[in-house]
Amino acid sequence: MLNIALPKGRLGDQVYALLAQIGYDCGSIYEQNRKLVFESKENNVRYLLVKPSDVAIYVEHHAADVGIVGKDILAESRPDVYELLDLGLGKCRMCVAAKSDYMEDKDRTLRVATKFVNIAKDHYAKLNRDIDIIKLNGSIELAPILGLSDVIVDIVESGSTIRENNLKIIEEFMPISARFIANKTSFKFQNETIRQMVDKLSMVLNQIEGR
Amino acid sequence: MTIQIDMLKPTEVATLAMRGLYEDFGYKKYRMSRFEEYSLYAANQQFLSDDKVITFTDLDGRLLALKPDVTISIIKNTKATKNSREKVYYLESVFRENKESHTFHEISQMGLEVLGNVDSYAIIEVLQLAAKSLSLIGKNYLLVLSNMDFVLGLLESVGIGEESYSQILPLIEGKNNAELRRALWELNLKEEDISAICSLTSLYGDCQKTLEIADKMVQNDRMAQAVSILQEVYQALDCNDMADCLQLDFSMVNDVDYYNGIIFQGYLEELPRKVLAGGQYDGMVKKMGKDAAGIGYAIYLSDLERMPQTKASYDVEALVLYDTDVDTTELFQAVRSLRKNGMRVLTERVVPPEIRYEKLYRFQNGILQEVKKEC
Repeated sequence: MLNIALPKGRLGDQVYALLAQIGYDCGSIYEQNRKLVFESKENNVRYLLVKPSDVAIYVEHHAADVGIVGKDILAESRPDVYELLDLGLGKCRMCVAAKSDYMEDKDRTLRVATKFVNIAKDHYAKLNRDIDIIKLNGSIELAPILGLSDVIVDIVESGSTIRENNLKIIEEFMPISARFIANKTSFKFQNETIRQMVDKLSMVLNQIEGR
Repeated sequence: MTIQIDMLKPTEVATLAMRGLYEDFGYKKYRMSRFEEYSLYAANQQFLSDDKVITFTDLDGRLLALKPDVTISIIKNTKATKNSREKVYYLESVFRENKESHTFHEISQMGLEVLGNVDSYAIIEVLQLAAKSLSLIGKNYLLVLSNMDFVLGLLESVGIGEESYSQILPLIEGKNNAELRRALWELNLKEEDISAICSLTSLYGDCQKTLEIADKMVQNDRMAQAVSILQEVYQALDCNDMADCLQLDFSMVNDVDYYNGIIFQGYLEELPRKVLAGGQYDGMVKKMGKDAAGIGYAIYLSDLERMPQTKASYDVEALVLYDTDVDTTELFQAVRSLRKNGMRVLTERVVPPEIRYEKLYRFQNGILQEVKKEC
């Protein structure tokens, strides 16, 4: 039985639809109720619905064998897992944004508000820029408006939230998309099963892209 | 007194069995102080997995550290040279940062090192002991092998220098083909070179097949030598019926500062991550001023606590209750008679909470009587 950790929400639904298409469906049980575990004995898979930011933790600790998780979360928490496939779903970008009239003063320590502390630190370390991190958990866009920070580092999908809040994107530095990850032990002991899943997934993704 | 194996924790059983194994091959137990001069770590920081060390000032003013690593101390103290070998094993605690909780943790490690002349026989012996150690812990295990010289030789042949290692090696290690390809593309490599390096991520599995493919990828002497030593090792282990638990994985790369040549990791089906890691560390031995080479491994005993354990059904076979006015000599004799029957006996005034016993006895008026459990 292969345990698959899916992120709750739209991405999880999309990926489940893909997996169901290539022979890993759970019948109609998936959408029906608020259960967190779905199992298909005949297809030998069990789906676990977990908070998106917890997928990598489930996989790293072997509670799930494989999982689907955004690159933003992988880059932030750097779990010890194999990153086997870029699904190309849930595409967005990691951006630096600031108020639309913002001009950078390189002579001052930059105040950065973000949910992604490690990503922001790494990014500015590469630029040799001194920063103060302000860790927020949501509504990051408010920070520059209220003068809490100079800039924000956050994921941007369409950019409409940024525009509506009178902010502008200064820099894009990391393309984000959903990744298929596997636990290292599972990958060794259930190699055939996982490899087959990866091959089938990449085939069906190529078909969609080619269309 | 007989020791019942199910009384022992899996870690204790494994530790005892491994000690026996290593002594059988003539390895000597190495015992060291819990503390080490901090300057040793300051001078060799590149060999530590992170720079966080617990330090304190001793009463004589010296700055000491709680060991974050054992191998460095063994190398520092070894008298081994190219002509004389030293074979040791150890059972020690190291103190490292836990990345998840951001606190220091004590990690119990068992390890084995060969210092001096490391020839193919030494490599094969160490690998064989690593595989045997894993088999003593769990039924389903894998020893995964690689040779750093193969990967580094390939990078060298396409002109990737050490400055790019920190970017490229983690992508190979994570089998992250998509991003590896992007990163190599940005280094302006030829398409055939990019494909060759990307193929490392899927170059794993059965030793014989993987070695055949690896052999065809050879570009220079360094890679050729890497493949030939792996072939020699595989043949020797295959002849000893150990090929089933052996795999190759060329995407496995370890710390370039610490290891060179053969590296290996051990996995158990029940545990989420590697429980054994090791390899050759000639560079480190030389850097520390010794005319020798080295190979060894460590087993993370703390992780073995997660191994499923068949729990004994009872804590004791007999629970004996007695009153205040009892004749203690008679009670003591009664307890001894139960012990003679091989029972574990707990003697108490009242039934303690959270105890699982098979039979309940009451000692009254000089007679030991079994109390039937109420249904």
